[in-house]
Amino acid sequence: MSDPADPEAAPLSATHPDQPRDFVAPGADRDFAGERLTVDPAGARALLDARLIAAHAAGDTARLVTLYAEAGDSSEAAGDAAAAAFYRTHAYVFALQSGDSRAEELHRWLLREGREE
Amino acid sequence: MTVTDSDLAAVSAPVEQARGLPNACYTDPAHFAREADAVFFASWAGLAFAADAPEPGDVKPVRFLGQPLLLARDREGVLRVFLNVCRHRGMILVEEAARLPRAIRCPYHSWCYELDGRLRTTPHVGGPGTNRHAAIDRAQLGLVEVRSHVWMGVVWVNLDGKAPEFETYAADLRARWAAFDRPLAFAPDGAFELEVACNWKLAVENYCESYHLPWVHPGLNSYSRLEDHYNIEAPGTHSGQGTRAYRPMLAEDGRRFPVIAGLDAQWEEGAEYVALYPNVLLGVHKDHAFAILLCPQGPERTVERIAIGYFDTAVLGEDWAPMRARNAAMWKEVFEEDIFVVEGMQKGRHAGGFDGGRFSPVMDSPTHCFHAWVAERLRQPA
Repeated sequence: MSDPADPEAAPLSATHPDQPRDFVAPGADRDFAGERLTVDPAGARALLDARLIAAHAAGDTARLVTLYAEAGDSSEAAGDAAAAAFYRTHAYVFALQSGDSRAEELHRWLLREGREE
Repeated sequence: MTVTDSDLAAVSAPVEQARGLPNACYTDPAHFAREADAVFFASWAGLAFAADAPEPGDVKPVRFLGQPLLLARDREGVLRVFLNVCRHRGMILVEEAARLPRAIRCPYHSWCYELDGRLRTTPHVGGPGTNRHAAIDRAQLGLVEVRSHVWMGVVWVNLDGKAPEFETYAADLRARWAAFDRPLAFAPDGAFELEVACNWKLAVENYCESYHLPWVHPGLNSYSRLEDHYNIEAPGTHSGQGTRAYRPMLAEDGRRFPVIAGLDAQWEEGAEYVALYPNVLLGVHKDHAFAILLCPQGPERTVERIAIGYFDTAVLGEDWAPMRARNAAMWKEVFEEDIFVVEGMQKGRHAGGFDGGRFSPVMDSPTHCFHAWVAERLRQPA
């Protein structure tokens, strides 16, 4: 979800204070402890899916926002705009539900893409 | 079992000749459904207490005569009542009381509503990842709001949307009780519920009249005799009774609850107990007030929700807690003393040969006033 006009802007999913400590930003090659990551893309995706399922089961909306935003960022990085919109829609919904300030930025992105009002 | 216009005309006759409402009005499920429309949904009915959703973000589902409703207090503190259903496929939105950080999310397809009822988003409504569609006009698809009004801590609703404004409906009582038209502080320890095996109307009837007091509440005889009481009748809106011998409760250390300053002499020794039709029973005294919501659960079952409020917020302090507890216990005992009466009348309503009964023209006229109002509502064309 980086602003294309601002190459320094970090992905939304990597900047929020609700960020879980085990979070791995899309495209990152190091984790928070600075360890080099060796997870392959398919493995990362499976890990994300598992986290999403766990967050749904726990009703942890803050984490759902983070993880869906991450999925949106990954999809965007992979050039899949439709998937990015899908995941960011979910992130937006759970941000609305939980009063998460990321709702506004997600809304702006969806609006810019012609997918929201 | 059908209640006919002839039956209702007999109820509306002058009190000297009138009969009470017929048995079917108390026992027949079909009549209960008719009454929901004609008596409750067409007028201003008590739904809940404002204290049920005290803080911004609070939502509470309330099932009212089969109608799924939702109390919701928005970020600005405005309390509203909505149908508790999503505008999409009619899914129930909220199953349990909660304090929401922001939006109400439908658990089915995640349409989201702001707490003021506006439809905020409709995910994937135009296909995956597309949350808008020309056919889905959000401005027209907010939560369906039910007319509501808060007075004396009670949330009143008018479900059919056709009743006069609440201020108009309750104008006479508000004028009568102008001295008490001020904020009430409700303490959680002043709220309790009673479940009674009777039709809701029997609780109104019993509340309206003082005739039963010396027999059912003999403890009152020592300080508030039958002759200290008087009738209150405002055909079309309310009726009840008053006393000229209200005696405030004393704490063990001799303290009394703070009273409203500058009251007329009438209220120094007086108190009044009025049913604002159909289902809210109110009582006012110089130091406190209470409201009883009659929540009909069926033709022969009613939940009474009682809340006691004080005119001085200081009374909510810890130092007044023992006194508040005594006051709540005193009222609970009084209301419990009435249970055998209303349940006994309910049993009596299964006697096929009972014709609805007669009224004392002197002592029962507030009850007849209520019966006549119900009869009039039932005679209104649908």
